[in-house]
Amino acid sequence: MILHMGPQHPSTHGVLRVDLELDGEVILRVIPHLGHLHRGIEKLAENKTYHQVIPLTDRLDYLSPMVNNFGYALAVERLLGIQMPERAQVIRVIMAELTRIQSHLVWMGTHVLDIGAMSPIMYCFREREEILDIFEMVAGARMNPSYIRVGGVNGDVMSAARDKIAEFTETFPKHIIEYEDLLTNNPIWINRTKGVGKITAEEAINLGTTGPTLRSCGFKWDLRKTNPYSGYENYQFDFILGKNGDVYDRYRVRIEEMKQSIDLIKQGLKKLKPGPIYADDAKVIPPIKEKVMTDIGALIHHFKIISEGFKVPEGEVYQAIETPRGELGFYIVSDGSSKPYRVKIKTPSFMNLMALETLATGRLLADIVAIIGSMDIVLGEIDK
Amino acid sequence: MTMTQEHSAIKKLEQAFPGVVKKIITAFGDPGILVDKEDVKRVCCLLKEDKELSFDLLSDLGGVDYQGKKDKRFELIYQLYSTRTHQWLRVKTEVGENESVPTMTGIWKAADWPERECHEMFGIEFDGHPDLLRLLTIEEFDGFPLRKDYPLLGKAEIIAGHEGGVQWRKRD
Repeated sequence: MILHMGPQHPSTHGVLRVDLELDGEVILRVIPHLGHLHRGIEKLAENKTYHQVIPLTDRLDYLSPMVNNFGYALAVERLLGIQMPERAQVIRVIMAELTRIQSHLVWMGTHVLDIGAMSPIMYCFREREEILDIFEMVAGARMNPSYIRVGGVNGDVMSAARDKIAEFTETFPKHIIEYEDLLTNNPIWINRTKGVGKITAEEAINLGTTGPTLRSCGFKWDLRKTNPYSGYENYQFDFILGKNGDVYDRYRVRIEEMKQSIDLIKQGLKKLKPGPIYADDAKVIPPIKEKVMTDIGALIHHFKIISEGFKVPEGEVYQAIETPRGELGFYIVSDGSSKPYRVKIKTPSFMNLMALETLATGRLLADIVAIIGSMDIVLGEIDK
Repeated sequence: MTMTQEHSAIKKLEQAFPGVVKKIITAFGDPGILVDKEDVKRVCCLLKEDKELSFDLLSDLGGVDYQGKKDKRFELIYQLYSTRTHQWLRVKTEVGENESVPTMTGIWKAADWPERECHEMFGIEFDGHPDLLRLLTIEEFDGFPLRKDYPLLGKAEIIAGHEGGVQWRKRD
């Protein structure tokens, strides 16, 4: 029997259609059909200036927009050869880790809801709300902040926001205990997840899987540690690994990652010293508002940067960062103009979803919901 | 990537297949090599199978359209990553219009969807790919959207038919 699951099925987390070939309740073949959310972001990026691409990156993985801005900004900065000031680097790390927590919270709430537990999503969204409030204080928007810009961040982290982040790092670990009380030793949860959707590390690498899905197999790979960027080499943290590579281990890895992110934010807050939040490069960074309003030279300069965009030297670069889902890579080719010649985006969910067939074949129909949930896919970045 | 490691990969390739590396393109610390499309398969095979290099993860695979800028229209880019040495290596190859490239799905299963995407976006054929169907666009889609001569707004818009089927309305 062939069963069409989706594209409106709630557990596909967006608009994914999966054709399932079944023998009774056992899955024989899985054929995902993508593209329901295809917006042509790569094509659009070729027709916009470097700065105008940032809002598009927000809409790739809409659950962790800051991290997408981050990866894109790093890639363009490497092309431009700009060095980031210390404070901007630290703010970026703090925002990336907050994003990781809020993305994992949405994942946990919805994943557990798919399997049948109603209450955790209420807790998860309660804490996520606090993080979104922080984003609103810092960036002015809750969902698509476009906060991390080429050459810096848009607006400083003021003391009120800083206090709120510090308060959050104190209260959140207690909430993780609440989630774990509900799930970690819950026999129903264990029955539904242990041994389900197993994959070995070799298979996972061959399939291009990255992020928590790969680490749950016990494979030591985290770009923040192996290929550090934005000062991650100055932070103390460890690989978080699972053992069996099943749905339960992926849950464990993400729970531990949330704890780790809190630790990284605490370290970041200690490093947060007063200083500039923009790189010192007048060719890329528009002048400050007061100057624009009083000085004609600054006004013209501002107008030119905004209307025409800044020029990026010829070249090509591949910059990868560790998002909540795995390796996000931007391959940018510049032809020396103010618009990118080509932006190729390697999105983690796209590669991770390829493993679905290996994970689900031979399992029961009810397991596919748990497996898709455990991979934490976002269709926005799969379909691009 | 440090120079020694960069050289070790390229040196090994030169030893195994003399003259295979057409050009070394190092950009912003990332090493890259240009090879002929006939050689891509054996180059990739060696890079993956060699115990010391072990480029076992295909990070990304994508195309670039250089219409009117280069002799051969397209360039294919393979971003390889070694989980042993934690290095990236960019393997590039040039492909002309209506030419085909051997598939990499036999070396990395990860090449499956990226090759399909590349096929639908640029019209590059991948020889031996098990299932080279359109991935992100619908089957009836006309043209290759990421080519430089494809208009940004598209050639036509779809009007969904009531009884299944797809109708197109041409843009002016």
